Amino acid sequence: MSDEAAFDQRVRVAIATAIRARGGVPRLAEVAADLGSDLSAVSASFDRMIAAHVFIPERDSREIYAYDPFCVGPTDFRVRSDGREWWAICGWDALGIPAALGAAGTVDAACADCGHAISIAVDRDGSATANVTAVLNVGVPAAEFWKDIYFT
Amino acid sequence: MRLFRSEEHARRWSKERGLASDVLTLDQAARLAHAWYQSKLAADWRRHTADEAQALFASLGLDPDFWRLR
Repeated sequence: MSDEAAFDQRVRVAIATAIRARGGVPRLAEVAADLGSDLSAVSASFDRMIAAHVFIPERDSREIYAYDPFCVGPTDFRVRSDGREWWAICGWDALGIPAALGAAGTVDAACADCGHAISIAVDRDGSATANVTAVLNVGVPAAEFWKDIYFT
Repeated sequence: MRLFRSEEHARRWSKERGLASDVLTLDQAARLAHAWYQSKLAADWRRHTADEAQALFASLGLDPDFWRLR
């Protein structure tokens, strides 16, 4: 593993640790402080991870918007899992938050067509049940997911 | 990638906006999300390769044309 790859792994672990410990997506400066590294090194790592689609940055920024499935919130997709409240950018990610935490959880959203409340219980093994016949609509073919990730 | 209360609502919403659409059952979506993200916070996490992703999509019975990565 190259020095850059090893450092990027340390940065990813710091992000993951911050999410678990603090219940939210960290800012770049927090990651640098947690690692005891200077901002420029962590900034460069963030740039590499953005290029590799490891996370979605805020628009015109290198700060994390979504370390998928975790998003800075609030959004239309609220998840309660592992004793905390989380936010996701989409239905796929919302269902993935309990999986990433290794816990059960509940997804609260609304039908994008009619606004009817949708509540989905997700077990640790990934099985799910909902209060309605909930479905996930994917509006962009897979090959085009990253053409405009904010729309996807 | 939005949630709807039924396939009918999803199809209508997509048609009104002229969007492509593939509708996953809740079981397909939950299994996809679990497989996709279960290791995201692990120290040894890495992105799925295209082949791994394609195999996952196929195992879930997803539309091979819509879910083709390349």
